[in-house]
Amino acid sequence: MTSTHSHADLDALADALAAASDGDPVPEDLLACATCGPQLDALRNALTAVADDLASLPPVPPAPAVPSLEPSLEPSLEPPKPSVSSTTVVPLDGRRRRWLLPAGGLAAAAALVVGGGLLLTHGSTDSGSASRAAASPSSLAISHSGTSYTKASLAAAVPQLLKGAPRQAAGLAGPKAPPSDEALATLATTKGLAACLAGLTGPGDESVPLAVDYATFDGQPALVVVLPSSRPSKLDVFVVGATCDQTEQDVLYYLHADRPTG
Amino acid sequence: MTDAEGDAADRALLQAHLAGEPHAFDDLLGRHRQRLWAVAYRTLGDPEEAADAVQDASLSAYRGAAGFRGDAQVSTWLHRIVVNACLDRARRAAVRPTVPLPEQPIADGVDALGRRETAVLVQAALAELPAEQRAAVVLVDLTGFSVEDAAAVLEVPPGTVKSRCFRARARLAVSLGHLRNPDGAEPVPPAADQGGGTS
Repeated sequence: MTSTHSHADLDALADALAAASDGDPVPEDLLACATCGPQLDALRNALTAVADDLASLPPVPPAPAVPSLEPSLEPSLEPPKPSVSSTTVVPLDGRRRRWLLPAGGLAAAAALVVGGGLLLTHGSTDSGSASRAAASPSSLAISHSGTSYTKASLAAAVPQLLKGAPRQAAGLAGPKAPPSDEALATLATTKGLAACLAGLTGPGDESVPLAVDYATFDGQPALVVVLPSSRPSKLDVFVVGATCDQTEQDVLYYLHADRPTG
Repeated sequence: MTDAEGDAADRALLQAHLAGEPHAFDDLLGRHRQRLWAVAYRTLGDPEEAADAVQDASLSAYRGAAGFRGDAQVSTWLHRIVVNACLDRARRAAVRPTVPLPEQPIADGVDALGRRETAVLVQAALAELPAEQRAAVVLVDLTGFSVEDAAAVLEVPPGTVKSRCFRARARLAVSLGHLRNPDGAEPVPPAADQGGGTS
């Protein structure tokens, strides 16, 4: 609050009214200010109009349906199966990924390296309906940056992740160097990485992972995985722990990030 | 059901979740879903962003349930996580007002505008508030929290919530064209300080 009467700012006036609403006296410096009295009166009247405006807002719509967080079997919550020719991911509510979906019914995933590319095969009790996400060498940046990500820093790091994090960017033949933290050793194998990515993308999800980075998150060894979202302007960024595999993704953090432009 | 009974039921569900009972956490969220959603919707002003914030918060709560200290009501804890998820998004400037504010205050106020236009302007003005002030005014003025309950959610003293609410309303008054100096020449200047008070 300014002590100059003639420069009492809006916050000072608001604080004075807040105090007055508790029965506290208006600060003396404001009382002594020639223009402050009228300003206080004007603000008091204006707040009444603001209250009317806030009250005029239409009611909040009903909360949207959300996927179950529980790893239980809920047949009614199963996502629709895309057709073989479909390239659109149709998670639970149209844009959620498999890791929020019931885990039942999944079998082991198989990961293959085909022609230098990582082929993620989602096993199923019905092998005929297995779907797969094949990442081309040019599309997935695998890095071992060791970056210490946090909730606060992750969003800003997405553009760099897509370019391949600093220390090493590779194509797709699988991780080329062991992660600095041995805890991520399983995820550093082609098979381990493929299983984790298959778990994140889920059956029927043919989207191609864009980037992974072996790093830490809030001090914990973690793999950061960037996936395209069903919304073109967005990306799904998962931070998973060392035990991520197809059946249990060990998601530490999820960010629905803006896709960098340009 | 009283607040105490409601909180007891919430705690029972949380304990059941921690004990591995399926659906317990979903049931817990279900008891508060609409209000959690309302807070996110009003805070972010964008249904998509609000849905994402609630989902982020739900996952955080799910994973962090074991860390619930029990020194607040479960519903307070859940709302705190939602508010923080919303503020994270607001601070990252990932959320923009659906409709930009007019460059100049609306000299004649918004009375002449239709109800829909008013709502759009109010939502846009809310989106321009500093995040802490927005959270306070959303909880108290738009979601029906008492100042004390909002203070528990925001983990600040009640006086701070009150100050943030009054400062937010004052800024809204300027943005919506309700506030001008007595001589009508210029609106009362907004303060440089973007934060809330600490009183």
